[in-house]
Amino acid sequence: MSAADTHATEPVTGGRPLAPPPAAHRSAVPGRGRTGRRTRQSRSLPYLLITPALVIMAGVLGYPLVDTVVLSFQDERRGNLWLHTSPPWVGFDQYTSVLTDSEFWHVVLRTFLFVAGCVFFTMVLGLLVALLMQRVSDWVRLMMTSVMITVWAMPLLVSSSIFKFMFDSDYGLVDQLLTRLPGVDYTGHNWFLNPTSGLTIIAILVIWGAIPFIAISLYSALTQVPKELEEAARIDGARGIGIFRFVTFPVIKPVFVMTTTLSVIWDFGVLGQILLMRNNLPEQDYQLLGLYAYVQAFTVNSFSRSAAISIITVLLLSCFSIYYLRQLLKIGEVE
Amino acid sequence: MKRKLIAAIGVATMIAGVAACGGSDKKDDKAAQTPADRTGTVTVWLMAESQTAWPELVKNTTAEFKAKYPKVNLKIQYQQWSDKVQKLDASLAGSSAPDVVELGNTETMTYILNGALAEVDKKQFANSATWIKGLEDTCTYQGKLYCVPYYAGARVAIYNADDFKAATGSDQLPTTEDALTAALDKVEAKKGSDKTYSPLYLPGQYWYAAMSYVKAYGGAIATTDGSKWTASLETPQAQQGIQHFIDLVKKYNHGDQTKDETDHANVMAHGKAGLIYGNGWEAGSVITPPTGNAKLKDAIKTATMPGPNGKALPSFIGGSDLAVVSKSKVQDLAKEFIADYTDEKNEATLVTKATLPNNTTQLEPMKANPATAAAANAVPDAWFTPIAPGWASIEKQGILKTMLLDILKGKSVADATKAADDKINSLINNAS
Amino acid sequence: MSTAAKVTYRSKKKSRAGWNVLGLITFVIMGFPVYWMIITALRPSQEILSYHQKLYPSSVTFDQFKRAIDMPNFWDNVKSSVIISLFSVVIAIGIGLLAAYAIGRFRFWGRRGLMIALLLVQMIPATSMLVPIYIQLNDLGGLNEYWGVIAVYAASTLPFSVWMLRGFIINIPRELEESAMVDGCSQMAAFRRVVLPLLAPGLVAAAIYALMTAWNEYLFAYVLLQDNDKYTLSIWLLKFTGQRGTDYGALMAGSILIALPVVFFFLLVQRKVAAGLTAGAVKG
Repeated sequence: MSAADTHATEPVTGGRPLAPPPAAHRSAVPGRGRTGRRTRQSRSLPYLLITPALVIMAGVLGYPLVDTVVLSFQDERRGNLWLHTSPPWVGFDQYTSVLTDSEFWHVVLRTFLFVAGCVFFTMVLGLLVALLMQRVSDWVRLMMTSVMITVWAMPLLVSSSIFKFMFDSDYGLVDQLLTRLPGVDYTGHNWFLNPTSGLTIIAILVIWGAIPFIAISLYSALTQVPKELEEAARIDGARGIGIFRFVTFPVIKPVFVMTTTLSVIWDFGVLGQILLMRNNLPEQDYQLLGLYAYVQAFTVNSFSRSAAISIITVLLLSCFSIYYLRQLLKIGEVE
Repeated sequence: MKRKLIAAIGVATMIAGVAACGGSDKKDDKAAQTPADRTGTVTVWLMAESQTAWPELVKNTTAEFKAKYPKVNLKIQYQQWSDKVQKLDASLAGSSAPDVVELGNTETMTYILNGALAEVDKKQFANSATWIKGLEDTCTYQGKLYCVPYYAGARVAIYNADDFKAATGSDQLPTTEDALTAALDKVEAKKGSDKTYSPLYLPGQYWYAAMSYVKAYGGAIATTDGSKWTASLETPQAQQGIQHFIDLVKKYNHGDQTKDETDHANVMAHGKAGLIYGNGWEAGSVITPPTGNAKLKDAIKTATMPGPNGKALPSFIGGSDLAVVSKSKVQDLAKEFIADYTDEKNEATLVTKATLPNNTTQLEPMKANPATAAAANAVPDAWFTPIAPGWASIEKQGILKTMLLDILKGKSVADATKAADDKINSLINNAS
Repeated sequence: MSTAAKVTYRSKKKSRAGWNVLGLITFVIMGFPVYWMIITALRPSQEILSYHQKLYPSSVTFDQFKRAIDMPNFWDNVKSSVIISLFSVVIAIGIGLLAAYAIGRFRFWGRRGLMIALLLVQMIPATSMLVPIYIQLNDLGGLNEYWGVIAVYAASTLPFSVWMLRGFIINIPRELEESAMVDGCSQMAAFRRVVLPLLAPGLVAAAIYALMTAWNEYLFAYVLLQDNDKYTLSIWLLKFTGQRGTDYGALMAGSILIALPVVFFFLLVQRKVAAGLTAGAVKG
């Protein structure tokens, strides 16, 4: 929907045949048809409500965001930073040098594959766990949520250490267990020698670590699905998948779309897990975008190049998530 | 690139000059004050070892410093190796940088060249005439001194004397490499039933060891003509050294050959290694609980590591330096703290912790003690990574590790060294 | 719950056993690394990096916990973590709820822009903005202050909590609120009495998210805080790793100590959520 939503008092007319919203929701614009004083109050109310959030975010991120953009058109190095000398302007040089670097595109491709795999499995498994949590007895649910909270509460340093030594080539549990299978010898098998296998292990760590958040968020969304609605659908003859598709999913869709988007964003920025699993010195083949930008800033020592990579990352991500963005806005408009 | 380097040097010297002027101005001011009246805050960043391995040093120095400057607030803040660089880089850009900072000796050059460190006067520090040259070099730029050596570490052979005795009849480590390999073969034969036991546990990505063999054959990572550095891993000598190292790894390491040296002490503690090439203090790690194995207490010994050509293997000399940040407003106090902290008494305490002191005067007696002799003896022949503007970046990107890993995966030594040289050349002269 | 639902509930009891088994399998798979953390903390250090891994410890020791607690500054850092996390949570759900309500219930100029901005902000790799953020807080005087770290955490969790809570708000029928307003409640009162209870699960999700971020984050906390006694627990944890090797046993013991309060907090709110949910079901 275009500009319609920017006019506060204009009721949103339909036009999205796929998901016609209940009329009652649309007509209920607060303040409408009440006294003039009230309308004015209602008009300023939303701004008042968002002010504290805006102040905090602008206060912390305002300058850094502007600075990142500015930096990407300069050539700032540590000397400039420390001695407060202004770095030279280089126009689009940082961007052209990044974009023409074949290594960068390898990193991008690797990142896309990694993120796609992680997000897919995180969301599917997370949703399944959430649905399962709805169906189990209370005591099982409590066990499940407790373990998930514990997983979530595990510091990255610890979960990475655990995965690292579960998959260690010399004293890893996984190798030793696999070797016990008849006909299999995994003694001394190094999972990280081959970057694909290594990144798969890291992906498992990422997925395992992300499931609790997804499952708990989706489960809390599922609790909003009115039981009567599902029962009614059941009485009407709808079964399993049908109920989920037409009754359950539409209700949890906002949360689902949002958590998917967040997963994409977070998995794009995966960094700590790789650093910790690779002894702080990840090989070239393990570089993903988040790590790449970080390495450029703190080991190659070019803050400007790092800034340019960050901005390219944001642009790539926005292209990638344009579908989600539209979905989100659509949901936002339709309500 | 060269222009950039010259510019950086220019800025660095200029800043050093400015800092020196600023320093002297302040000194004039403060000379009027007695030490007891001095106020202010001195912030010191020390690495975690100063808190966990040798807390006595901080205790001694704090007491001394407080006695002289009762009104000065001395803040010791402990840092972690893994993320210190980020914190230091950020804080040098802001207004609350520390006054004294500990730097690994391969990190110093970046900070010196970018004007982050203040010049210091050698005469102010104890035993500075006999500082270990390898360490002092990491603090020196164009004849000026920008930091103070703190402690050193050299690598030695750490071996399980019981295993050697059972196989060869002697609990002494052979002194030549030929005799050593013969002994290792015997240890191997004796322990043959344990497939995970390595007579010599030399991890494949252990580049400090690999470069020691390069050095032993007369090669180097990079050479300089005085202004520009060029990588030299492709030279026949260097390739020979790398090949020699790889051969040893492949023949005697029966664990995972592609690891780095992070946990070789643990391998030995589990009785899975006859010999490792490690830091002098790692002999202690092998036998000290919680992670070490106290049962090996009498078996673990250190010796000089024999190298090719009948000589000892030249060791890398690692260590830490202490520097005064050029932005510091209390540079005189900061220097005085460093002087107190690296005094003879504190360095002597380090000696008791199997850590090498910063000077040869105090190193000499260590040669008489069998536990520390090997490490102390390694110092005169020790080598150091290129003191080049871009070295820290090369090390942090793990270029040498990648090279060794590629060779283990099947790449030829010639191709791998060529690739590494190209990478090194693109970074080594780059000041920031 | 209605009687009809109860009937089906009983008839479904049989199939529930199957779900329970699946639930327990999930529990085991998700929990295995947790189990490994716990037994690593309890077993003698020698067994941790062993060549013969066993699924259970040969003997149980609490040495590692003792070593962990004896590390300097433990209790100071507990205090820091509690203060920082508490404020981060309160800000994330308090201020986040206000903004979410505005976005979810009102049409105002800039709403769409705000939503996109909230999303975009999260896309920038935060670690590469470390230095600019440091400089920003340096200028604001927030270095080495709890509020500086709290502000950074709030800024990074607010987008999420706003989006999350908005998702809940738009699912609450507006008629509920309207009828309350017709009954004479002001909009704020209607919000408090009607909307808030229905939001409980969303608030809990947002609160847990904010708590986890504040409790586990360490890079920004490490860079922004300076005094040893102001560090948070996740920085304290790094003391077990260092140049001289990693003390895995104490590291695991330390992280169990750190994780416990969070799990406890969750179990505490869990009951409240359950209560909130049934209340919502009756009204809905």
